[in-house]
Amino acid sequence: MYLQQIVNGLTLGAIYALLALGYSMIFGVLYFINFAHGDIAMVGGYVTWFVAASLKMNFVLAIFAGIIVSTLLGVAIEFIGYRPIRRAPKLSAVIVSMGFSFVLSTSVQLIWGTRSLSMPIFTNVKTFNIGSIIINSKQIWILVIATVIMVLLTLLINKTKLGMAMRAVALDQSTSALMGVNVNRTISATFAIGSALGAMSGIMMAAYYGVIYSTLGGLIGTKGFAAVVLGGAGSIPGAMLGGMLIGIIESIAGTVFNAQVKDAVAFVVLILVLLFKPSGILGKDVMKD
Amino acid sequence: MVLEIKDLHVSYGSIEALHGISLELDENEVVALVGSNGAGKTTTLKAISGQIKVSSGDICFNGRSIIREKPHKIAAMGIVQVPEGRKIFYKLSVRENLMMGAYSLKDKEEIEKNLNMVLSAFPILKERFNQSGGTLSGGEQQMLAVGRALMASPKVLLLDEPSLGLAPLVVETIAEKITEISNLGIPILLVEQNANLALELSSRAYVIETGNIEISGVSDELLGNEDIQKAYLGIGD
Ligand SMILES: Nc1ncnc2c1ncn2[C@@H]1O[C@H](COP(=O)(O)OP(=O)(O)OP(=O)(O)O)[C@@H](O)[C@H]1O
Ligand SMILES: [Mg+2]
Repeated sequence: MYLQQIVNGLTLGAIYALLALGYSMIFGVLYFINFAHGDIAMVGGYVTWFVAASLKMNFVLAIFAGIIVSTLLGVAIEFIGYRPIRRAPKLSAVIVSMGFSFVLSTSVQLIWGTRSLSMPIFTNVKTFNIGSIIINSKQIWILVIATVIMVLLTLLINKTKLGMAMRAVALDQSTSALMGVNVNRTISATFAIGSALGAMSGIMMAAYYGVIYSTLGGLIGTKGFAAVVLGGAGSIPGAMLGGMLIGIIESIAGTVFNAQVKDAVAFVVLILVLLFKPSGILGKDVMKD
Repeated sequence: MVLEIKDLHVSYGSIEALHGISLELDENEVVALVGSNGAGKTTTLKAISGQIKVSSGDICFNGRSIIREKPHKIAAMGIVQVPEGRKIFYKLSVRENLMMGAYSLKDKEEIEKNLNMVLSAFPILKERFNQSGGTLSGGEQQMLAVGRALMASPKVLLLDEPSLGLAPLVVETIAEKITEISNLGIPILLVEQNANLALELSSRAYVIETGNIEISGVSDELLGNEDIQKAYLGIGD
């Protein structure tokens, strides 16, 4: 029974973790929460839906189209919205990000309407019984892909020159520039990678439940944000851990209480963490700057 | 002339910090820029590295103006600064801090060669190789900061108060290394409040006071002139 909820929770958690990673990477370099991030993820889901369902093209192609559009969108939003106000108080950037969030969800409503659309990925789902646990092919795909992405991201951040530059820029922009790092380009790369991860999350969320709708961005945005706060803002392992925990807590709460409670659980966790351990489980001390 | 600053004016907002300073650094020279708190030494280095906007005047590197270049471009030219307060990446390991120094270099062999050179010059960094930079002592961090700068194959080295806050014994080590680096043929602009140390290490020196160069000359002569010492350098009594 609980084992089953943990499997379901891990699947959801993997999706939240991918979203939380983007929030956290962006927080790591610019020290603000990009509230447009959930909507950038949602747009990735819509583009994938459009290419797969409307244009009736190949799924894999549709997924890549979604990722590319979200990536470009994330980089463009940083360039247009955040770069000009980089030295302004962080609250300005937060407010601008809320503006972008609104613009994105409204644009999607104007283009594709307000009704839920059915996501044509995973049409023939197989189910497997392992002991008392039931797991389906959607869940297996999501868990495998999310795990591969997280391993690759960890390697990128810890083992490559770009990853080292991203960590250096997160610590000290002006000293990084003295070392020859193009800080603006490194920040763009951070937004590109974070937004691509967000797109994967949005696509998986839509594929998992089989539907996509314009408020999905706000919904998963909240879950991803709660995951970041729980895991610790700015921490990569924290985002993964936080995402998984929110997924599992939600899934268990859904059976212990009822399905309506499920979506509120993330908020409860958010409030509790902010009250008792604002820096999260693995986070840096946000208050220091 | 490797580095040539001509009538440089720099302001923070409406307050001018440098009122037209001129300074030259040639091949094989160690030149000192000395002056008390708030005189404008760090501001001068920031202007050279492109971290702050120049309002008028010029800075030339090998005859070419660099005042419109971005900091990362200036660093890639080989104008390498060891910033005030060392500015170690505290969460990055010693190895990664050194690799950050070599960020602009493409040639793997050159990076390897520089790393071996830095580790034999500062054996302590070898011992601390995989520790995070933040766990190093002040002296070790200064060595790391200098080592990191050497990783870049510098064509000019700008040092901002390398002796600040260090024990006398560590200051001596750093001083020895500065001479060794100079002997490698790297021109050095040495910024110091510790005028005695700076004048001993340099061949020529400039004395800066509230944004103006007050005196300049051969370091030995400045060291020998008691009037100058009393008036500007706060040493000798
Ligand atoms: N970011 C800043 N904003 C405004 N004024 C500044 C700023 N940085 C420096 N100043 C001012 O510019 C002047 C020169 O400062 P600078 O840091 O160059 O001095 P310095 O010679 O390096 O001093 P120290 O030996 O204390 O490091 C000082 O009057 C200082 O108050
Ligand atoms: Mg200074």
